[in-house]
Amino acid sequence: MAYSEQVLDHYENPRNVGKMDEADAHVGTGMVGAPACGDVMRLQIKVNDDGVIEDAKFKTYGCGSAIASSSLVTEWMKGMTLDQAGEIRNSNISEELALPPVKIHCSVLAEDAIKAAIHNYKSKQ
Amino acid sequence: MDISQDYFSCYGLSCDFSLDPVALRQSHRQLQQQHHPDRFVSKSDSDQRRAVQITAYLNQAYATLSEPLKRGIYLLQLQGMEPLAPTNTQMPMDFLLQQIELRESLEEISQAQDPETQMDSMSSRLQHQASQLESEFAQAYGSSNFEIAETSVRKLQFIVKLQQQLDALEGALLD
Repeated sequence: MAYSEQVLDHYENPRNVGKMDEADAHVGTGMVGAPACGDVMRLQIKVNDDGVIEDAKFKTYGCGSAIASSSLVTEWMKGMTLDQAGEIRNSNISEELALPPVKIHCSVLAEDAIKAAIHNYKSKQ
Repeated sequence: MDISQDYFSCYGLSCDFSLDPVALRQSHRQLQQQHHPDRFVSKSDSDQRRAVQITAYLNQAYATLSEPLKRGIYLLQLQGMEPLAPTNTQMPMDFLLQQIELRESLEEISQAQDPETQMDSMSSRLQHQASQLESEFAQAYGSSNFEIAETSVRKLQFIVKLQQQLDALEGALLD
């Protein structure tokens, strides 16, 4: 199966790979996994006092589409409020990356990781 | 032979996670021989087609039942569950953390001074986890705790995947 140019771009030059301090009260961590393919994704957001996402980092162990989906959303989320980030849907991701139907679940994983990270941040406040 | 029945019934086994692999193999061979398409070359077209269908069914049945992971998934499917549904991404947090750690160490193995020792120790760790999950599954399924059984089989899927990656790395490094 051929990957789209957008996927290859994020896969070859992933943005915002890394890790933040989970114990930091400004950091929300979301971890999700897709048993069907064994992919694991960790997505972290750093939120400032105005409720705006200042920084986002991810680490994904999975296929190119899963890496590209998480790389893309870290770019999108920077500068967004929590509510805006919470509105990102997997369909936005799969459209942007031109994911084929068999890879839609990778974008579902990224959407769920965003929700998990937001939930984690809110639970700390 | 009825190819609409479940895979366990076709071998005369009860729908259970624990099974005797030797008995399964013997029963499979016997049925395979009995329905082998070569035995039907002089028979009618429909008999020949049927032999081919039964053989395909038997191959699928054996491949499913002989592997613990596939057997577990199949048992849950018989209960109407879909343990690997792509829309279900929630896994216990401690398990995911452990998975990330394991994958990080897998990434580092190729740069290690003694990759073989590290691969061996990871492999035995994974095998230990897999057999634990298998007994967890067997117990939960046997007592109709299907949700616990589902979590066990989902975890097992991650472990099996990791083992495959480890095997691939081992193959690449030892070349």
